[in-house]
Amino acid sequence: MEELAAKLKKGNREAWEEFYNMFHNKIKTLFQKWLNNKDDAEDLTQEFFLKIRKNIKQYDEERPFYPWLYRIAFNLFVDFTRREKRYFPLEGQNMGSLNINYGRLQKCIDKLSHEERRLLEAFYIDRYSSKELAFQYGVSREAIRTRLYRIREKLRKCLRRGENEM
Amino acid sequence: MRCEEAREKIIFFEELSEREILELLGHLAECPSCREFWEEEKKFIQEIEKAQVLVNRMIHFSYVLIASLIFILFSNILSLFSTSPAKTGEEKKFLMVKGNPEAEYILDGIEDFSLEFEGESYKIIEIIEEPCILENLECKKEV
Repeated sequence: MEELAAKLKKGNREAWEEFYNMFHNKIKTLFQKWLNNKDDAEDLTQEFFLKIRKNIKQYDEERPFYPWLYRIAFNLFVDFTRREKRYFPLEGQNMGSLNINYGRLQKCIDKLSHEERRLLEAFYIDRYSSKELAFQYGVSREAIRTRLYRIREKLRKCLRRGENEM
Repeated sequence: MRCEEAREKIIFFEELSEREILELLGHLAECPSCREFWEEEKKFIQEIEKAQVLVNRMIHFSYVLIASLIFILFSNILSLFSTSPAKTGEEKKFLMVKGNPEAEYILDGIEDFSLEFEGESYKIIEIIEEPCILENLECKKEV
């Protein structure tokens, strides 16, 4: 898949055809399942391919291609449902209401323990995978995932409730 | 899929297989609170990346600053040596001028203290009263 992505980045026409054939039905089915509407699913599928074409240069070849693609698909879906109020009219109003800015985030990060900060930086900034971190820390991958999840939850609570409540 | 499991998977989204991604997205499409978590994680990553860009720029700026300071320091040390011909023995000819606009201009603008005269390159080390050429440390008359 990453090889195909590299070809797409170079603008290879055959690669684009292959990509379209490989993903058109998959993505359309996905949107149809999420939206339960064929026409909207078709529109969103077109939008998806346009977005991929526009953003393919930003794709980092060192990272897996599938998550990048599906992240774009799902973000399109979320944006679409927010735009089209007939989908999830109630939940949509609250979505993304958390206001994260760097200053506040930094304050919350400062409240973490040294170990927690190191782990957070290793994962989010240095981009170590949970597998690599598990190896470094000499624990299981599951243990690393749980630790990181707890740290994220702490940060989430801090960001949500304000800096004094951590 | 339980919400806690889904949220953990959101954090490790890049490590998931295609099957796991589709399972997770299926859950997200139906679970507003997990969708909210997805949005928050997106914002969180954006902020972390922004902060990283800021840090990288600051690091880059400090490198440039340090390099410039080293360059200035090194140039100053070199110029100290170059104004001491007796020590280096490399500079043989010097032009010392007073009231020569070209020389003063160069001294003002100062990046290079040298001056061309009759096909020869001279190093200006000082402005003196009487224009003359120092050759082998002996001042000759009139430029």
